[in-house]
Amino acid sequence: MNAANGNRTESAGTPALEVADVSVTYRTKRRTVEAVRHVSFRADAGSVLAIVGESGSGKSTIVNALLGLLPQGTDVEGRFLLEGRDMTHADERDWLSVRGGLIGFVPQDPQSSLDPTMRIGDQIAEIVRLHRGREAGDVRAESLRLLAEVGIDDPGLRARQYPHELSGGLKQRVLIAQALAGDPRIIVADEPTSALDVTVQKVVLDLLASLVRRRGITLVMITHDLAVAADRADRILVMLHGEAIEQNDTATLLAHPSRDYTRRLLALVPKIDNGNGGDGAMADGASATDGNDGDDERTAVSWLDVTREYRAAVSERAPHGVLTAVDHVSLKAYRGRTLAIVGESGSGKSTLLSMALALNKPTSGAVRVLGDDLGALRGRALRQARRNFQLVQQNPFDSLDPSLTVRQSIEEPLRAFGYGTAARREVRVRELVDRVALPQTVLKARPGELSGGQSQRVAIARALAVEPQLVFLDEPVSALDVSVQDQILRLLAGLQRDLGLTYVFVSHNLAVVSEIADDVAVMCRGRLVEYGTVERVLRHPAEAYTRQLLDAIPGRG
Amino acid sequence: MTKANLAYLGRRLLQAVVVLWASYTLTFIILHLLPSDPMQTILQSRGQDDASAQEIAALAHQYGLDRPVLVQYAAMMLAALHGDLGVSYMQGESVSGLIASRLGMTLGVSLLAIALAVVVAFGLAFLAAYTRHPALRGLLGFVPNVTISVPIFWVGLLLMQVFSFSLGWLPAMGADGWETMVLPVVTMSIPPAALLGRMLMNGFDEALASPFITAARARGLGRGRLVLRHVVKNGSLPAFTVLGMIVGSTVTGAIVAETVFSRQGVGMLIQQSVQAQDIPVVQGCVLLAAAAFVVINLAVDMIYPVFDPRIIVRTAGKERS
Repeated sequence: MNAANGNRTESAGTPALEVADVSVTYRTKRRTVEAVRHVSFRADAGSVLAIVGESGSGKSTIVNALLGLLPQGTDVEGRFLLEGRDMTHADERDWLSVRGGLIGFVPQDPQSSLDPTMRIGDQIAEIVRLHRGREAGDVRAESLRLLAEVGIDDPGLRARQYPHELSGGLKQRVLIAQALAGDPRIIVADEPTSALDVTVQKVVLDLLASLVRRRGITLVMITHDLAVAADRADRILVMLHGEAIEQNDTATLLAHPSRDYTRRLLALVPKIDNGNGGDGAMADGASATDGNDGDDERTAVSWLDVTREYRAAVSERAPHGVLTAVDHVSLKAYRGRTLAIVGESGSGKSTLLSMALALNKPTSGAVRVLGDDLGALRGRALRQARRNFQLVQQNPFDSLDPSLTVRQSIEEPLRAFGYGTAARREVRVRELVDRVALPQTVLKARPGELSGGQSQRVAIARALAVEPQLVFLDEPVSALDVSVQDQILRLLAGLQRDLGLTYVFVSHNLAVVSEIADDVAVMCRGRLVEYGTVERVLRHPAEAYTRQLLDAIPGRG
Repeated sequence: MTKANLAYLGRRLLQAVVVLWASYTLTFIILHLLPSDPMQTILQSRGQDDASAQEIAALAHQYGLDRPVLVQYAAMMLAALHGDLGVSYMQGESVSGLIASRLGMTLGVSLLAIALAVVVAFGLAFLAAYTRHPALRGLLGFVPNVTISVPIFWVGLLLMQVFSFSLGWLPAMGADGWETMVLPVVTMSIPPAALLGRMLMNGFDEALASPFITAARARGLGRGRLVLRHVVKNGSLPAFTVLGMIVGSTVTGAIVAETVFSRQGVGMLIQQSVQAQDIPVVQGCVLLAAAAFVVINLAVDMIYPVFDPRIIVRTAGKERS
């Protein structure tokens, strides 16, 4: 089906990349895993191909195969050609002649993909020297030119800095510069922006797209985000459980998806414009915009003129060695509603959360949670107050103790607050597992045996164990696949309806926010930029920054 | 150096003083709890086993042993602060002179042992990181794990048995010429080599598995360059922090090795003085070892930021997470 619809340079004849009926099987002593089964696709020279799939779909295996980075003892069948050159059974020496020079790589996580102990300039020069050898007269000048090409201001300064001194977006640019250093004709980008803030994501993707176009590079982009693919790719290949279930040019695939899975992925692309007016839960008095400063019983959490400062190394944001993480913020979360705190990294949203959890004290101002002034509570009183507010963390894999079974994890808060007898607790644990729609069989499992979605359900069950009225959710779905995200969001909505919970939801993802929140607070660099109902803020943003955030969401045209 | 760095240095020096004082005091307490009488040592060493009660009292007064323990402690420490570590009960010489005369021998062997340990550990770790042969990797990884649990006095005796008595290649004891240093150096290098080797192998493995190595491979770097330029530096950082422990372990190593190979170094001195309850000498040696430990750790902390630019010397505990 991929015959004649290449909408670009058809003249070249040989495709840049051709994968024909490739299967990849990992063999270890204990078991064999068929990670990729009979996948075929091609990328025409100068085109952008997106490979879309969730975790376990085999897309990372494809990346490793394209770069010859599969572990030893992996079986590869089929044929795989780079510019007509058969690389299916190439050895390390063949690969060394191809990597970086013919095929470049932009890795996923900018935070850990640069050598932390080496200056940026040296890391680029290393690659330049490797690929251009002696012919590159001045390696340093070439390195600086590359840094400038990826849009880095003041390359001379950046070249002298270490990776930890650069923001995520800048690091990703450096990684792109490194991929370009060998002047490759193909670039494989593995989730190049999934670790970045949404506005940075847009800038980096724009940059990548323009470079690729200018240099005529073929781009293979791996992503879990169909919206990103839809925005950027000429062709899309959808992978599921190791198989390429559907591929077509982007417009056709979006307009006429042939497989249910693709249709489901498309449906899951969160859309802001839908609104969620169906709730009807918004009583006039309880709306976020009512400007009433009194702390009545409808208020679950109120931050009153809260400021939090940290000592920090002197930087642009901390000119006097003091970083103001939260700057005079006043904000309220109302009972039975969901307040979403939105912002990019460093906006202060996590600091607001940690202060409401009494894990962190404001430098000035006060935080009242369910009527208690947290600053005045100490020892036993604080401990008892904690019973009423619980936390669900971002990364479900790290937030559960790996040595405890699911039963022990959920039971732990019950024991901590002296809940009933062992038999009572057992009943309660089973009830909770039901509540979060997990089978009773998971009780004996340990976190290592659970999927991300299951782990997050356990974390939610644990948070609900002591019957809190208020649950803080710190990016509860950002580490999960889209289809799992959707399930967890629905679970959370159901629990809120049934148990009358109040949620305070921290997220960088406006699309997710539009699905679950009633009220939104937009934070930027420690300040509250905008605050109001979801309807108002997302549909009629008053502030430029909010509009910028909204515009950066992929899949909005 | 900025004001913050100076404040940090000041705090660390204060800590060092506390460590020295604590080790000095702890040794004093332990030695005084032991059920033996230092007067016995003094009399024996002077060949005055049959001294009269009057003579004993006079000697006790001369050494200050007739005073209450707390007063003895205060006097010893005050003297130590002025650089006077007292006089050996056993040998009648000044402690500092005694240590100084023996330090050279121990220092030479210890430094060589540490150097050998570093070379061996890096060699093992580098080979393990460079090779792609799983069986060889497994074998190399096995070496430090076995040697770390081998008692070194046994190793020393074994080496002596093989190389001195059976093969006759090297002298079993003595301290003349380089031949006598070989076996003690090898013996002493084993525990630090094993500790360091294990740290380095773990560090290299971790570095090899990190995303920036995969990214560098994908950019076309070959295995050798990858290991040399990126893995060694990043993988050695954790091992760097145990340098203090390694120096500490050479002190115990010296005690064992010098006893086994009959070398008159500081290790032997410690062993003999502890046995004879020669309190001033033990105190002096402990102070010396503690000082070495403190200085090495301080140096490591000061140098660490050079190797790992992410570490900033901080003045306050408050950090932005």
